[in-house]
Amino acid sequence: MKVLKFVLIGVVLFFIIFPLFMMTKYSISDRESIVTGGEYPEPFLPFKPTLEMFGALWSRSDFLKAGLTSLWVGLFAVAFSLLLGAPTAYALARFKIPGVAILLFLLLSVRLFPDISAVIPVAELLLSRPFSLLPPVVLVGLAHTLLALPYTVYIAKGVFESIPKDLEEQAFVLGAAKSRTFFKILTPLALPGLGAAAIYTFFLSWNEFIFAYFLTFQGTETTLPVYLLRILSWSPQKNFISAISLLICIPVIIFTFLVQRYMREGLTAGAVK
Amino acid sequence: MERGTSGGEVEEYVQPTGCSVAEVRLKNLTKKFKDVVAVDNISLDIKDREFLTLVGPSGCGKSTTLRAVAGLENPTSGEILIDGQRVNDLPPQKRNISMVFQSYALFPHMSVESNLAFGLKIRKRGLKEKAKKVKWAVNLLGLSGFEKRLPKELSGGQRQRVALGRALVLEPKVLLLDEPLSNLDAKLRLRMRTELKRLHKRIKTTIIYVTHDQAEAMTLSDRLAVMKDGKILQVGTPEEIYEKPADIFCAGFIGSPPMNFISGEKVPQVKDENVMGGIRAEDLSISLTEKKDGIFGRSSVTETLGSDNYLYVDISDLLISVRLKPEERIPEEKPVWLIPSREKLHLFDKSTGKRV
Repeated sequence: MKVLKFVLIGVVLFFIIFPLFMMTKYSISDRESIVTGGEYPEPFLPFKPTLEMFGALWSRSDFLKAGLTSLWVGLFAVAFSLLLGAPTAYALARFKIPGVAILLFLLLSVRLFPDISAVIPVAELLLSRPFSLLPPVVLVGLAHTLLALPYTVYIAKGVFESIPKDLEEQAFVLGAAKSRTFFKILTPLALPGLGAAAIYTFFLSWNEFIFAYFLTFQGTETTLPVYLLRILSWSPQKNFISAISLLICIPVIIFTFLVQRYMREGLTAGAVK
Repeated sequence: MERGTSGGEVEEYVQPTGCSVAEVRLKNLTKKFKDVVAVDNISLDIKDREFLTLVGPSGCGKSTTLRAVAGLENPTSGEILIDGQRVNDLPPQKRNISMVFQSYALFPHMSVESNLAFGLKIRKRGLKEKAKKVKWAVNLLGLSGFEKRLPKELSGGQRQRVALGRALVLEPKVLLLDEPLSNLDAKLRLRMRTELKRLHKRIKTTIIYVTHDQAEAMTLSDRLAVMKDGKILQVGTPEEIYEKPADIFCAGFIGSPPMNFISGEKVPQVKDENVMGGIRAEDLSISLTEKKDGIFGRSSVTETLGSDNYLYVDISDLLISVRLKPEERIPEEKPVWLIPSREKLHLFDKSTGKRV
């Protein structure tokens, strides 16, 4: 059993690490290590490791601009989906609403349709007035909110249900107004769970291609996935593409790391009983 | 090692100004949840600085009554008066009450200190006053050294005391306690019971206490109100209810072991099939020889509790408990005669359940 366990772990690790290794390897490869012309096999490690691709990317303003756009779109999507989703979830969790099961099913069923069938009406709506007056960053952010919202509501509903009602009533009895209870008691306790929803939304937004493409393909301002497509159309070298891929991972890692600090487990421990 | 619950120097509790009297009056209070009547037209006067317990089986409406006094439930009809003022339409914080929940409901992300100061902070009390009050509570409840801890780093008993302290620092006219001891283990529960009684002597606040545990109700209360099915069956001091229960339910609910009930025609002193005779285990004497005013039965098992021994006696299809004298030993499976003490025999009407 033990051997099997280690073998399984090994296999899984290989599948995770191998692509990352290849990506890293190519990103620091010199020209001779990639363009072999079939005369010699590709080396396991590059002949002369170099950071020149990263330097080249750093000086490309369109790449940085796309990165920044993606970042803003992601943050917008996180903010919108939490601002809309958390209160919705709170209401669903706390109040007896007739037909709540149907409501929740309808909410999720939005996501049962493939994105490609939803993108035309959404793009049509967002690209006509008054929405079209908004900057593209906000438009794509709104589209991503649309995608993330059902899950955000689901996650946040679970979060609010896990916070005992006694805490709210206690705050109420001690004299706290609804707003104070929400911000001083509920919000701090809900943060870990809402953090999970935020990470999910950010990931979704950072990866999302179809909606971003339909909403921004005409303009110059576009997110990283759409920018990647444009780059690919020039048939760039492996090392260039790998360097971009690697850089794209970094903000996601940073964002996750930042948010995870709020996700201390068992925050409600000791509240009741 | 847990600290003592009332060690250290504690300043005398200063009664809040302008509140010499904190009576609570319930007038024809009714609370319905859709078609279910949780509280059914109850009226109750709770005196100033009294420790009154609402006691009854679960679902009898005691918690709902308490929550109505707290302002967490809107009465369907009837009035609640605190200190002579009608409070039906006032939110909890305007009623001058504090409540301790069964679950303690400590704010898990706040330290003991912040939990204690939460209500004071809302009332915008000065830093100095806040610190003083928190210190008072910490000393009173033996929580010194734990001020910076989070609730999850406290034991059950300490959490319970923090919850109590958080209510006390607000100097409420009325303190509402909803089964505050039921989440503690048996040993701690007994200790906190004593502490609570001592505390009430010191702080002199009106306390309304809810419990389903008749022993807690008996030991803590100045008076208790026995509730069942949303109604108050009897109000009185523990002695009154123990000695003169108003009906069969109160008689059976208060006291341990529960009162024995024997149909009237089987009791030689009564000989009336329309009444139910009730007799407590300690009011029965037992004889191994035939007595003409005795009730015949067979001795079954003896329960030894140390100070008290209880013998169970089979009388046709009933099992009757009898308290034995410390030195008394009755062999099992022997014919015995039980003699009820005539003046301690309670009689209840079989059809209404009322005392006759």
